[in-house]
Amino acid sequence: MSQFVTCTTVIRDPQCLVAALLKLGRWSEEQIEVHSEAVALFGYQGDKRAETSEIVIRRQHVGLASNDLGFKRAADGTYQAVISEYDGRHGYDEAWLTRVVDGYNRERIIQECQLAGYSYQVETRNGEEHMVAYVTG
Amino acid sequence: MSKTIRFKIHGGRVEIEGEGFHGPACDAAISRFLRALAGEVQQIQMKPEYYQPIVETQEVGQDA
Repeated sequence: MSQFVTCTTVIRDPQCLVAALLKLGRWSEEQIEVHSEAVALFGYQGDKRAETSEIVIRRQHVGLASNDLGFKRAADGTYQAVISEYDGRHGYDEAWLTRVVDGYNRERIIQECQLAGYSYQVETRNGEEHMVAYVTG
Repeated sequence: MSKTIRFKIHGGRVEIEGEGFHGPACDAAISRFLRALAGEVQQIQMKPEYYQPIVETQEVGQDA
């Protein structure tokens, strides 16, 4: 071992974000809208909300009395979750968002391994799941 | 020794550990992933191996 780095991350890549959402297992590809420009979000009664997002999951796929759920691209290129107060109290809370970010990080690392031509695999060490990239060259 | 990069992903953070590298080679290998994750580095810890010199051996005294 020669170096150990800990970092926090931000979501910048929409493809990896969608892949992470898909791997949560709740939605199909058709249910996750990806727009080049932000579109309106709608509330549980079909009312148009002031919030907009580039990545949208419509309310009928979120929950019974839910509102649209979105991820909005900020000026700095990062994506921020747009979640109603109601949905934040019904399963789409900080813990859920952390699972999304962890999934995003996993997808981003896989993407980078593929770009670099590194092989990779998931290993378990001390009961914890790790991803391991094998560096060549 | 093979060179690997180990990722522990949890709590919205990533711990990245280079294994089998010496010196700047480790920085280079890890930094591409840091760039990809657009990460804000919270902690860097060099392991003893980081400071080990790279020793290259070469056979001498034999003409081709």
